[in-house]
Amino acid sequence: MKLVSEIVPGDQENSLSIGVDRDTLDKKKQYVSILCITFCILIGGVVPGDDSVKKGFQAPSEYKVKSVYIYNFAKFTKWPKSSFECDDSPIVLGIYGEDPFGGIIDKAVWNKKVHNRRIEVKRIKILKDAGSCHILFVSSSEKKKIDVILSRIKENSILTVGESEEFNQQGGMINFLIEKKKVKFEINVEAIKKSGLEVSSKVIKLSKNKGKRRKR
Amino acid sequence: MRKTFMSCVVLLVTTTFVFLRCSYTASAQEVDSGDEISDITEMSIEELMNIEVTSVSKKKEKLSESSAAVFVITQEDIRRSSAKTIPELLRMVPGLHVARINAQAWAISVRGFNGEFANKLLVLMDGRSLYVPHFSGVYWQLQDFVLDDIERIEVIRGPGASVWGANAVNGVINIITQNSRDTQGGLLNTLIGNEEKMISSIRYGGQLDVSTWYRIYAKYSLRDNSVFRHDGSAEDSGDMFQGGFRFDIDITERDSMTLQGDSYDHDSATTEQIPMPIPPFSRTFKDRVEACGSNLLWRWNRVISETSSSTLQFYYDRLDITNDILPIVHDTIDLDFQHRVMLGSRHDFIWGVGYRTIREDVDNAIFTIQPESRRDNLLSAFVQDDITLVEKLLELTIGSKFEDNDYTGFEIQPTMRILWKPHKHHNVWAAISRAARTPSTMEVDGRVTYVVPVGNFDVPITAFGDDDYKSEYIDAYEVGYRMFPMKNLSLDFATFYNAYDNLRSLETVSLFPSIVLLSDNKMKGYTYGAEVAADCMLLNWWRLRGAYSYLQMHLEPDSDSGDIFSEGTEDLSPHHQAHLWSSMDITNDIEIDAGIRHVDRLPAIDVGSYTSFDLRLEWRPVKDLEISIAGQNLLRNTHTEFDPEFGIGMPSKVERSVYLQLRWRF
Repeated sequence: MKLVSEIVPGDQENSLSIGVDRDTLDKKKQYVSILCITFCILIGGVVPGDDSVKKGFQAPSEYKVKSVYIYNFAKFTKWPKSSFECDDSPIVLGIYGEDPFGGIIDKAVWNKKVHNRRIEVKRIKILKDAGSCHILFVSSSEKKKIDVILSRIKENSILTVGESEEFNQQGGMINFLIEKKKVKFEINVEAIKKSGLEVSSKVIKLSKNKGKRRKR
Repeated sequence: MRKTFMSCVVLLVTTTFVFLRCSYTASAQEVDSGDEISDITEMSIEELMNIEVTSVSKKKEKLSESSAAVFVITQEDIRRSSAKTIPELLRMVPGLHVARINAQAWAISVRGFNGEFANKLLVLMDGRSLYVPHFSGVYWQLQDFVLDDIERIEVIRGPGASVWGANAVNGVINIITQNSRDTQGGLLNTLIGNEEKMISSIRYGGQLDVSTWYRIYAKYSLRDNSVFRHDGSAEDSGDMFQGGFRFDIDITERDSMTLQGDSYDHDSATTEQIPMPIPPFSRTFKDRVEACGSNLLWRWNRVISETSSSTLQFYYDRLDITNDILPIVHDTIDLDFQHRVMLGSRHDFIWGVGYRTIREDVDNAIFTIQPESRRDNLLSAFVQDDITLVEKLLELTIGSKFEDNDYTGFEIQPTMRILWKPHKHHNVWAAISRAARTPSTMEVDGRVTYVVPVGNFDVPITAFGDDDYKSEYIDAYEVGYRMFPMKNLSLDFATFYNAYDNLRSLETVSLFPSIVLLSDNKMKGYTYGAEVAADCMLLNWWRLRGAYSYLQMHLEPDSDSGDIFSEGTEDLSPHHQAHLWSSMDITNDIEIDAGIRHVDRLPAIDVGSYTSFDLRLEWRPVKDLEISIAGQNLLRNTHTEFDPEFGIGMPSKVERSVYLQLRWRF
């Protein structure tokens, strides 16, 4: 056994390891591995899940439709003059909570104007920033905090849109729901009036509840 | 190295071609109905009401209903915390022991076995492993990011959400950064303080066209010296410069791609102690540590149908550390594929394969590794099925991870989990899993020399790795219970019993003229404990949270072992930890966050229990500007949390710190 002092770094005999010829085994492993992965990717990427794939490529996604709904709501909503700094300030559409749209909503409003204003999409992470929006979409991820969120912004004229069961009952204005695979919406007219917004009666008539309170 | 790289490139090109072809086929079918989104955008509300839609299976598990002990640090928690670095943020997680060793190093572990080179915790950032194979641990001082751009940090205690990578033995930490869509605009964040002298970062995010978002950032940190346990400046200050970018592209409605990368340069000093052949048998010296690293990560997410989706990820990671102990360079290439599919209405099936190759080059110095140059390959696969036994009531998860590595060959790591949701206000889960911690390079081919104080003398010790070093195993039995008695209150309770085998022991080879030890697997043991977390909105503007962790460790050398050191690691983890923190929104523009934490003593290294108090006050004078002032460890001038491993570094204390921070969005 060598003395600690006699062991020089880099000395081959220091290690008590026994050499193993790993090289050829490694190369084989590498190629087999890469082949396995390529095969798996082709299977996973090419083979469709089931017949609904064909349908899937023709029917739009839930959020594509919700994006266009929101664009339409903006078209038929009037904000008080004080909501905008100047004539060409954009309409800010805030998405609060986990973003279920991805890039779809940006595409839906790209280069479009409503009341001669651009629509700017903002992902809101901090509730404090929600006050600067004109439309606030509250994602279903926040369904437990709806009352907190709505109470914070009640001083501002913000059109609130949600997709959770009790959204309107807690003070929300427009709530999406899915009925027989179609996207519908409910309207809470009182909440809209309270905030100083004007929503065209055309939209109210098309809502599921026709603006009336849902019977409990 | 080049051959593997070429193979990966060929693979990427093939995959790109396959995906593009599929997308083309898809959009060719849609061509009949006009361009993707524009035909619908022109629709009126009446028309929208009559369209049938597809909803992608949102089987994204709600964390409050998962069959594992999970804790999530959200971006809101990050923003309001007085923590300025990732390790400090982890202090709020129950079951995690986070101990600061000195100005640079940290000891972080879950459910026991903590140490500077704690090896039973897997840490990932966006799916990229931060775990370093040469000592099976994480260099926490090198893991940094613009904290405002972190989406969340998920911590899973216990082995076995089987989809994760190698060595998720006691738990997994996954740091997830935000999509560039969520970090648009500019953000300047500057902090100046007495311990963290300065941390400044600037980030800008923008949109190149309708489906391409990006962000770029740069960050600089400068840290002050800590203080030795026996007083005197520890001379361990340092700084780090980091920069990076991210692109997120929506190629089609179903395919999205991310490309991100970071690069950093770290420079610090540390005081070390090494053995000498003559009395006093040890000497201290100041070591300069320079580390630089870069990574590039590419990810492709594809929604194949309503019930099926896949992800392909590739990353390259390079780490280059220069110091006097053991300079090392390692290059990692990793390719990973995952596919998720709903089979029928009851099976949520996910499977994946991955290939990782790591090249390690060392420059033998005070520690050595033989051979100095090596390449390790890891092939892994996993399968998991979430079975709905009874709709909305009972779910069973069965899964396993399979791995083939260069040291111990083939490993199987199965898990079985059950979730029972008897009522919307409670759920119960239980799990049995097995996991393996594969050997580190040091444990197989390394040699370390260090000094151990015995009475008034310093005794030099040499420890060798062994080629036959095996994997350590854990059999984990866990049970958890979650309660939501009222709308504003949630309670999360988890308990565990972990049985370990083949734990590392150090067998004596010789005692004279010097002590020489050999790594072996002759230790076993068990740990058990519980964690409770409570979260309560006392009032609309006041949130109170608490966490308590209890742990007992019992280690025992095998009957044929001569190890007298390793059993002591039982007392390197605290039996109790408690944490209480309060978040108050005084007005819409003023916030106060305060936290108090207590950690039990560590008898093995003579570290007493301590209580620490942190406070943060934030004021938002105008929109887009936040000014905050915070203090950490306010109760005492200094306190000790942990010691460096191997007795290489010198024991230091953590000091009281205060800082001023400014955050400006533009």
